[in-house]
Amino acid sequence: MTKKERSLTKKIHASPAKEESSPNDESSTPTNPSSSEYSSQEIRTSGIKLTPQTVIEASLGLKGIDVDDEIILVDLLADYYFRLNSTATFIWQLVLQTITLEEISQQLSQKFHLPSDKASEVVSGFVDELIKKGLVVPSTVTES
Amino acid sequence: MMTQRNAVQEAIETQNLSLNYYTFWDRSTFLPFDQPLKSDLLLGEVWKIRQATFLGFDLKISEKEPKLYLDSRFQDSINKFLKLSSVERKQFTEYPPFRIWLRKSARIANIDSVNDKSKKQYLKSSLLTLGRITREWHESKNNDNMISGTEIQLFRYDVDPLIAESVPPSYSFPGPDKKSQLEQASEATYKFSFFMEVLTVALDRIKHTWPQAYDEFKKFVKIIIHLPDAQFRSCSAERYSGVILLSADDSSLLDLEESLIHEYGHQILYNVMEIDPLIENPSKENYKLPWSGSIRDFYGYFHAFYIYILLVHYFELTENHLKAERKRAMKRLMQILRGLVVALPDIEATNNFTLRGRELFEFLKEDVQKLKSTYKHLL
Repeated sequence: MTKKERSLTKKIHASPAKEESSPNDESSTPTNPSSSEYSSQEIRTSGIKLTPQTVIEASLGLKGIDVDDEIILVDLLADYYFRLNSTATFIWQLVLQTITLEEISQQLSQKFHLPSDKASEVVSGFVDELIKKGLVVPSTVTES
Repeated sequence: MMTQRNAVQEAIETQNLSLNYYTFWDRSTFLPFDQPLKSDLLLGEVWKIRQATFLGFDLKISEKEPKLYLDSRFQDSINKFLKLSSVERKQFTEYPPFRIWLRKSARIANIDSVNDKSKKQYLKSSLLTLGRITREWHESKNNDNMISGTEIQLFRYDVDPLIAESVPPSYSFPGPDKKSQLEQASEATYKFSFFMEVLTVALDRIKHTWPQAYDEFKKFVKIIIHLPDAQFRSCSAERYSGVILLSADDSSLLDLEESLIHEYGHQILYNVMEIDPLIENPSKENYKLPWSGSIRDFYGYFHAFYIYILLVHYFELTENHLKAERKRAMKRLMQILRGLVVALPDIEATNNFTLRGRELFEFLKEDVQKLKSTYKHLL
């Protein structure tokens, strides 16, 4: 037998219920290759403070493929591909409209009948994950 | 009335979806005694990962190497793939030659690699190969080498070139001249058709011994290759997952059942490890396997531990085998269980697990402790 090689495709999970965990929930796996270069403190956050008025944009060279209710993000400069689950796909489609995080949270709250603070938490967590992976760039931010 | 039924159906589906998320890792060993079985969730996730890698690779090549992309008519293959139903796309991503092709091709799609002339040449040849794989996958559905009652294909020396390339050093497939000699020699001593019958009977016995394991086996194993001259009893590897190699070493049906269950256990782990590596930063420490005395690294030790748990459960269920076979099965069960008891503290002491790997181990540990308790008077 040979050693296992790391999968080239990673899943990014945005969950409307905190206790849910998808089969490939990266946020609960701090040992994944994309995060292993960070210190233990940095694994959890991108270090960028997000505000309700933050607008984020897809990084240059990022392409999306829509298949089977999922979006596959392809960073042409990176080695990995990313799969978005259905909730993350919903948020991603809003990200592409370059609206504020507050507006994204409102729409998520309506779609999934979530309390607004919970929706904001989900959006912030997801966006932070995207920033960490270099898939999006915040255009209105306050550096922490 | 109709609306109400639809609403109920939708609620059930929603509930099932939530259940999937909650239970994928929850007390999952992915073995056929899980309640509920997790194989469909596992394989459902794995094929989506492969599809994403495939489509991501396609997009990357079309953007980075447009001329190569057009010249190779790679888009035709992608279009054919996208026209398939999701069931067929899943089947295609599980077809071992495609899986091998994807694993090799996708890794050279980053910019630095593609700029390398030899790798570019490899990429070109790789893009051209996909058409052949797609065609042969379609044709394979009508091949006459399918094992009865399954969609598993049986081969001897004439295997897909991608499989032949991937198998060494486990086994080196003969070149064209030697292949014909070996085929003739094997036909004289152990006819392919006879092995097909033996294999069919062994699988049928597995079906009657442990129906869930039989059903699961058919989901994970796609190709069996019989190699009478091989030096091993049975063999598989992650780099050619979905394929198992069998030699002519099994001298009884019970032995063959053990080999088949053993290799099916490896296949489960190869798939789980596509989602989570389970083992990280493996140390260079080697271990002596308590079952065979062979030396293995931690990866090999954990695989063996997992598979031997599966085998203990299989042998437990052999009560309807012939009396002499049952006696042999129980003897083997005890040998294996003694090894599991020795292995348990070694594996528990390691720091080489991911969080998911550690969780999986804890469920397996509970199972070994139950088995130990059940058979304590015989240990």
